[in-house]
Amino acid sequence: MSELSGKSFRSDLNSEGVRVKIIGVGGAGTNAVDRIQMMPQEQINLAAVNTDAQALESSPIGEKLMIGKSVTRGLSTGGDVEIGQTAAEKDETKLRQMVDGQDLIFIVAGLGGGTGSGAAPVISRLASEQGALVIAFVTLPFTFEGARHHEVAENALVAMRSHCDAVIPLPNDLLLQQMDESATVLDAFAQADAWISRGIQSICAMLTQTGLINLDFAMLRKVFEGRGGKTLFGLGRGEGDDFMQEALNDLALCPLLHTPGFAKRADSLLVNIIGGTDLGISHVNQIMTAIAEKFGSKEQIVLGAVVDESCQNTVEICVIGATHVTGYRPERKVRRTAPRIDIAPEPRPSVTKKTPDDELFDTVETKPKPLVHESKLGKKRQPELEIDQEEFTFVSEDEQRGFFENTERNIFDGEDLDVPTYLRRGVRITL
Amino acid sequence: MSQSRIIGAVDIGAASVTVLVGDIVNGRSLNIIGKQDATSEGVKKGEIVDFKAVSNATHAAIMGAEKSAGAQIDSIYLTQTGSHLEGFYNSAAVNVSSSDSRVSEADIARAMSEAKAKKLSDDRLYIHHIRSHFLLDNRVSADPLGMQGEKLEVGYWSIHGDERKVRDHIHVINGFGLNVEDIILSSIASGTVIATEEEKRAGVMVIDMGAGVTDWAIYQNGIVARTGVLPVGSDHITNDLALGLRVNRKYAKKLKTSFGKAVLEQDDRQEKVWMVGDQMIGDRRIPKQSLIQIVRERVEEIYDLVKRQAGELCHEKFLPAGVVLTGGGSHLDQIDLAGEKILGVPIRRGELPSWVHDNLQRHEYTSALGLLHFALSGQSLDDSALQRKQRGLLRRVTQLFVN
Amino acid sequence: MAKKKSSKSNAPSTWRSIQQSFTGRAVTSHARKRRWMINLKFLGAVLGLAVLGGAIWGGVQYLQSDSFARLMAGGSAPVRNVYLESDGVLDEQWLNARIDMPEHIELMAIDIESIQRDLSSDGQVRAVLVERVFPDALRIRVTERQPVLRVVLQDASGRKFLRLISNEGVVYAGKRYPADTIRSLPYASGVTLRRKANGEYFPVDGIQDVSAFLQHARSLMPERVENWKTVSLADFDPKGASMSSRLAVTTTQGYSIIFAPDELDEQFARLNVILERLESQRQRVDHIDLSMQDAVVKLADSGTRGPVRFR
Repeated sequence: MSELSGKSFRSDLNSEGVRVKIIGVGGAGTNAVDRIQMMPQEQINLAAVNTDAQALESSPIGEKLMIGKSVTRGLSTGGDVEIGQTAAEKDETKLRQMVDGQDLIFIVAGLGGGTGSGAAPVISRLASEQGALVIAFVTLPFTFEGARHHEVAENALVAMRSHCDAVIPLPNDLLLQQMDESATVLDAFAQADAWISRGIQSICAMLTQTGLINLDFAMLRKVFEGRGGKTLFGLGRGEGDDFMQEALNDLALCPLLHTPGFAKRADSLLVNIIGGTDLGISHVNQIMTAIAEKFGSKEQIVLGAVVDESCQNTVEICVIGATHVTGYRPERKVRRTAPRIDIAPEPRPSVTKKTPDDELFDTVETKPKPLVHESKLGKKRQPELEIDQEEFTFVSEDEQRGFFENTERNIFDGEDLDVPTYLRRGVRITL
Repeated sequence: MSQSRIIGAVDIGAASVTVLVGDIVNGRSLNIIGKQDATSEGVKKGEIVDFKAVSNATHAAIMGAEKSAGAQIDSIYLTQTGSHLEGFYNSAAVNVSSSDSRVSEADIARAMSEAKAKKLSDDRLYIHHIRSHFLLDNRVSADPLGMQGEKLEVGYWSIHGDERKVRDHIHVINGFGLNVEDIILSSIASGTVIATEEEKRAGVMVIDMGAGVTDWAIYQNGIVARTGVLPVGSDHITNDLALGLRVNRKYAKKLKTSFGKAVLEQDDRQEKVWMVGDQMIGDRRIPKQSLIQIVRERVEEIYDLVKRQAGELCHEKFLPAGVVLTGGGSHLDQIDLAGEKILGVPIRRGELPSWVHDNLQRHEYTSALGLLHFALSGQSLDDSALQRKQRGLLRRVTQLFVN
Repeated sequence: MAKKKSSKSNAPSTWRSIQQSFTGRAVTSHARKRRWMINLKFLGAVLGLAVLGGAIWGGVQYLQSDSFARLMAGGSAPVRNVYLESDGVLDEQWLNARIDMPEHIELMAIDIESIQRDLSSDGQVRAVLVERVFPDALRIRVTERQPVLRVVLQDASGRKFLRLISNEGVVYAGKRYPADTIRSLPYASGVTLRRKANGEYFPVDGIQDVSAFLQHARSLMPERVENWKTVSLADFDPKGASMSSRLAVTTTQGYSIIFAPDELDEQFARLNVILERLESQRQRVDHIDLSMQDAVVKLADSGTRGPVRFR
């Protein structure tokens, strides 16, 4: 994979007029960005944000920002989200500088901790306010880490969703499923980092490398037009003689893709294929057909195909999709698109629209609304956001609840019983 | 002239809506004259998530049942389940008032109403008050009237539910133009027919594993002592398989019914099964071990959670007759064995009584059959039966005029 | 969404406190369809009942109306035959005199009831049944009264009428009897007849006993009874209460016989013995009294001799 990624970042992004920055937030985020950093690339700007001065010091990333000096005195947040959040707010000016002037910003964070959960939403907001396309990769804690971590991560995810154009959650529970039986928790973290790298590289490659089918930044923007919906993300890779079939199988088994709710509900889909010179248009077509079969009509798919000479006999497929619709209530779509405040400042009339289903909908809402961020939003945005949060309350874990999403949470002793038992117990399933 | 009452027993489950039509002749004999199943829509974990869809499916089923019975249903008996149901035990003691220390009817009434007087919060409704035996000076007495003693004590296992959910449930039937004559907890409805009287006297636990929920009830001294609802059912097994094996729900269900098993055996470790079975493109081989592991984890967890819910009563000591399984989920291979080591009591799949016709001898029908049993016996679970009779008549009369 | 129903009552709420009504939000097409069917059935039943009720009422009305009779008349054949069945002597001649039926009248147009009324007003008729025999005949069944006695009446103008008295005591003008039948009937005497307002007579009491007496006598000694001219009921008490109840018979030979109403066999036997004795002695007799323990015979020409007592 390393030679592939190396090539992906070789071209000059600036010449295309697209400025890309990857920001790692918190310990986990910084570590993930480090792995990208270790590959030879110059044109992509990497940045790290942390409250822990020591951890930041040891990172090889060029642009580092220590936030919340006045709050933490350079120490870690100790897992306190409030502190992480305050730290970011205190240093808002510095953060604003960091995100200023960028077209595409990737935010990488591990949710569940203090800095990642507290600061990442703030940075997303700032980035989004600067007009950049914001795509976030976040990891979600293991179930066995406990209910508190989960709640923190969930709340942060809800906040992130309302600010980013796309949020790709990577539940550690799921990632563990993809690994060998002997894998440790550390391996699982490393695996998460690898997934993040591959995702970011794939998106960048689409924009920068020339190939069979080219994509530009405007199309990318279009894919993520509907903000706040769920995002699906999947990778598949094939090598050897039958690389085509292998890649498709790999993609089909990708645990991130396999939350059944997703499969039918991608409203727009970005598919990027990276292959060697032996990748013909017929191969691309074959992949397209297979993907269209799984995700719906071809009209919704934006396709990019990149040729990389070093990739003979291999193909990597990356699928990123955005859903504007969740659940069984299509009218949510209207409300979901509404809070695109920074790009279209005038309020949409549909925001105020109340549907007769609202009453029914209330029945689902039993948990308190997350307390995130309301205080820090511009006043005029508050009502819209409230509606949003109501909808997102359960989104994050829904990815693992499948059939039971949109039903009341099934909490027993802090565990969500709708999430498969084997996942919660960390039982590895071989396929 | 013989008098016949046409009763509809409606069990709205997560997998299907079952309607049985019973003809109760002279209040003495029951003929099951109609039956209809419809695929359920809009029910998850025993609760209504899509009112319109549930209404549609239920109404279609009742229509079909009426058609197959060739008769018009007079009133409906309905099962109730869902995680919103909760129960508590409340007892009250009164001093025997008369000078000769004989228990009078007034004493009994006073004790009973006091034990049931506990107020619920505004959005909760009582579903049942199930009375345990009277205690007269701490001696068990089935009928203390006229007996001598000083202190009369009585306790109830009271079950209450969320008002809105119960109302939704009833309104589904009302929407069809029928009235709900009685609501019976699913677990109790099932327990009535699946466990024998001897077992109930000795102490038995009935576990009804449905698609959406697992209902259970513990009988002591012939009476329901505890009930519970675990909002996990065989739908969860299907969902786990879909997520774990990366297959869609349809195949997950198919895999569950054809290869699903609650115990992993040595032979299963190497075996692989085909997902679709036609071995065409898109079909793939799935390790049987993985499949069973996913199922086993879930099944064991269900038993474990039931054990935790039931608390101390879920013990060998209180359950000499063991555990009787029923419900659609009980078809799963070796599900009885899987539970024994967790619950520590013998588990068996229940058998419906022999009066049940062959084509109704299915665990999916247990609850509905239990409802008809209640309709026939005419007894309500709680003491408010009298009050209901009057209302019923009044309602019928008013209905005449409304028509 | 908390409900404010706690204010309603102090008792803890149960699910039965939920209002059950059809006007829920859950009315599906199935429910509507069923509702329609029920309403239709109900409406149908009501309409059916109404139609049935109307039909019955209308039918009754129509049956009573003239138009119905006319219609029915139009629907049946004209009468061709009238059958008269009688257990007595009445015949077609009597019938023709009695009723006036237009020719070519339709069977259904005949007013059976009026014919029946008309015929039964004849004293000789005890009962009559008029039937239509479809398509074109009328059958009249008559049960006649049996005459027991005859009686001669005289009205205010001095005209005399012969009337018959039936078994039941009805006084009537006999018609179509053969002369012999009439002649064989004894006259009744000592009978007080009272007139009804319409000119008919009230029935005479005790004729049944007289009839039984005559029948009994006839069966034992028919040739003697033929000579009986009158039966007097003057001393007869129809109730049979008086000990002195007597029936007096006058014969054509001029003597009279007095009977007590009971133990007739004995009286007839004694009468036979007495008469045979008298005939053999060729003695004429004035009267024979059988009502006593011992029969008393008074001879006609033995004015000097006292009554002979037979033992």
